[in-house]
Amino acid sequence: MRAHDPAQDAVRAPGLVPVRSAAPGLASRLMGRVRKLPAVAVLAAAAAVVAAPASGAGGSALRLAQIQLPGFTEPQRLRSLDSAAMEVAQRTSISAQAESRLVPLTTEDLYALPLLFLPSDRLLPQLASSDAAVLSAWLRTGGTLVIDWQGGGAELDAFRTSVEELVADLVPGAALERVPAGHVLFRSFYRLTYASGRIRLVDDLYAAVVDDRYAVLVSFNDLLSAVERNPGGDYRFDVVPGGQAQREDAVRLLVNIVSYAMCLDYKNDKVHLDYLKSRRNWRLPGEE
Amino acid sequence: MEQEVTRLIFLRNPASVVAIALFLMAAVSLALFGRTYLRAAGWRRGAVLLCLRSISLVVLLAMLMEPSLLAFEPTTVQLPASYTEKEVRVVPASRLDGLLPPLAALPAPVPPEVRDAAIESVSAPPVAFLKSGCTVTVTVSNRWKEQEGEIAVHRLTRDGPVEVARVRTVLAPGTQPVAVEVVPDLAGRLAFAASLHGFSGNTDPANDTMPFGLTVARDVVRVLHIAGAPSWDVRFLRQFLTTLPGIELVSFYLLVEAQDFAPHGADELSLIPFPTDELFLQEIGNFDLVIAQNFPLGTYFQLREEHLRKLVSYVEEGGGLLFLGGDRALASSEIQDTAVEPILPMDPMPEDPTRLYDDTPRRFALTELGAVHPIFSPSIEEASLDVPAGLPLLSGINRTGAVRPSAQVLATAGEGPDELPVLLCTSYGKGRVLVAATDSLWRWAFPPSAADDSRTLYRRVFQNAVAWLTRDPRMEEVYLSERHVPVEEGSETEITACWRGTADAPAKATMNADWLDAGGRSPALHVEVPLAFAADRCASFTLPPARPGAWVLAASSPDRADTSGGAIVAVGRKAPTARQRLVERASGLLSMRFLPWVLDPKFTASLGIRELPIQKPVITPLWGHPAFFILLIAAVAAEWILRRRWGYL
Repeated sequence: MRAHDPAQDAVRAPGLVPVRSAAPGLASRLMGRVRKLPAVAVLAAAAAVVAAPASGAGGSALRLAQIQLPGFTEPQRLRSLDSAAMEVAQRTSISAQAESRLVPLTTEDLYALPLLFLPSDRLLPQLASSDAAVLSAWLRTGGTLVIDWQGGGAELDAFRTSVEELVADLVPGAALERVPAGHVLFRSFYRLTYASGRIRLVDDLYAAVVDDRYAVLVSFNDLLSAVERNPGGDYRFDVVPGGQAQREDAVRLLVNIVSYAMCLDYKNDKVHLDYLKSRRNWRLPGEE
Repeated sequence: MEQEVTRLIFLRNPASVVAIALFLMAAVSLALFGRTYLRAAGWRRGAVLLCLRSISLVVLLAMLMEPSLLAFEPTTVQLPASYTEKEVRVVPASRLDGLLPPLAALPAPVPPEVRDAAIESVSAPPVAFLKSGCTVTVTVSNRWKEQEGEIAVHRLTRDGPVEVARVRTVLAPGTQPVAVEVVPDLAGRLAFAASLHGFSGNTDPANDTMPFGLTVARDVVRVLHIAGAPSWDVRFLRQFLTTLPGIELVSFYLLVEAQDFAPHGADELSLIPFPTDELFLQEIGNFDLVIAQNFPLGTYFQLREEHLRKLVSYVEEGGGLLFLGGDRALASSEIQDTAVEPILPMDPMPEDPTRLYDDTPRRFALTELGAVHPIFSPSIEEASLDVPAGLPLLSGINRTGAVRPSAQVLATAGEGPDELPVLLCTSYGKGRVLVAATDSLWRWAFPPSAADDSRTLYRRVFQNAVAWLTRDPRMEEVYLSERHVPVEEGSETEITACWRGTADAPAKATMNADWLDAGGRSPALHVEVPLAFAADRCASFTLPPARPGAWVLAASSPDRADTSGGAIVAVGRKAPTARQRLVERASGLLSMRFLPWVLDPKFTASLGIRELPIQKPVITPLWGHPAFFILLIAAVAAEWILRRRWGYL
């Protein structure tokens, strides 16, 4: 594995074809039964899925995209997004397509993509009022923006300040807040206890609320780099300090973010909470 | 009220035979034995004994003559109307036109005191919800001083009125609204009547009751939302349903498939098993609507044939099924030849089985039938839903087979030979099925900001679809021109009924009309009116004249068992004529009465006296008072004790 090199991300990985979800109609086992496979089997399965023909799930399938802000040259992480889409397709029933792309803020394509990522290794720019209005309307209509800090710890505070200023422009009256450990985001698919990434600067996720949901999510741990694979199927960047376990947690966090964007507070439904508590003697943080 | 009372004590039985006999015996006894007493006991002791004996006798005599108290209390007696009023026809109506009203008016000798409370009108909300309180405003006029009484609301039924609410209120002089909280205990179109009870200054019972109609919908629609996988279509529908008032949502989404790659243990997931048996075999009857979104309704998953048969029975017995498409739903052959297939409005398998799911963007368009269907045209008064020009295209369409004869295509996607049915509906048994053969309706909920109209369309379509599938009374096939103002008693009423169902109007249809008496005194009257729908799918009919009450209208057809539709037409009392209103206003203005025949040759002559003051005698007996008995016993006992002590016994 190599060290993190964002410059190489500008070129989209060749040879990737759209990922399809597994064909329906083959399932015959109980949904709750999941299996553990060795690492070799993981790679084999991933390769098999990547090589599969494109699905026709065009209407409602998941496509990840990176938003392009006017006048801001953020690193392009399309390969990371394709890898994330693959992981989601392989681990969940969500139909995901590895067709990640850059989406300029000013196009109507924005409204074909309710989930956008904004990776950045530098301070976020202050948007012109017209641009802020466009992005604000997208958020209020139902979009979810994930901001991923890819820089080091030295500029972390300055980056956080720039994020807070951007959030204040986009969602007047809303403040960037820490996502509580018991929030549904940490159990929308996997049960997680912290926010992982390629590095581990901040163990929390931060977010801003629009219409009772987190519409802006902020990771400070370079989440996208932790899941990126090269065309051969290997992970591209080292994960420090936790190694593979930390990488797995990062993948799970990405799966949870996608599940949350697509299911909202579904896992907060009473029937789910009751079952989880009764079956696993499981408690939400703060509960007796 | 201060009352003047006159009191008098008198003997009710002064000539009592026993009393006279005792008086004579006492006189003889005193004459014979008084001298003996005085000699034997001495003058002082003898005098004491004689006094005691005399007291005993006097008390006994007084009791036997029944002394009583006579009092006179002033009170009033209500005179029956037959004593004080008489209907008089002064001038024949045929000669009225030739008469000129005189200019002078004569004051009545005694300005009559008007005492009455009347219900002027009742205002009810257009829709109330089952088992949820709704406020009915009863406007009451009080033509007397402040008075207290009760206002009751009854639901009118063929078996008589059933009380549903009662409030106690104090009416000030004049007209005022009184709010009555009504909690409907049945859903549907119901007839009610508000009435006055116990008001002391209420003399005219004819205006104490006012009927009204109320459309009662279910307060909570229980929705089971099952999805084959999370998707944007699922997310935006869930987001909308959770904000829709009156929806109780239970959701289960399949988050993994058996072949999904799983480098994790079960305890690391927050997944729960899909409760197939609980949902399909035990609980499904508790839901009003099942939304199967991109859900593989075949026997290959955990679902067995018995689960699917239960789903079919659920629809047959009146449940609603909203079937939303996607790459897992209809884009598979497994649904064919299952129990579910016959309830769908189309053959799920297209002619070309290799093209099940088409993601070519297509433009949505309503069919002619869809434009008038309740989902897109919820009421006659409201304009149909517009399909905005900038509506986002549908990019994921399930290709399906032939549309079944009993089904209707409400909307299509694409144009010309590439046109595909995308919105189809049908009825199965008592239930309804709506299929949206696409998973890209979410694009309407997430449009570019310039096309916000599509968000409105998305919300209205799903809101109306939920209402239509759950047989909301506002979404019935036969829609009647309801009258929110009661029709007048004794007059014919013309009603227009329009067919807006999913198929052509039935050849034979009947409007069943039940008249229910507002007071519950008369038996219900049933009338069957044949409906003949014209080319515009509407039919007019006339209800016969009726007394105050309500017509409960319900459509039926022998051709289509699922035909529904109806209305409540309240029949109110006859409104006063302009002439009567003029007389009333003039009388009130001048505090005098115009000779009534000046304006109306047929009038009721009244003496102006409704009460007769009298002095009512009240007799209270005194002889039974305990003091008499105590005095008698004391006198006898004292005499006996003294005689014993002095040795005269």
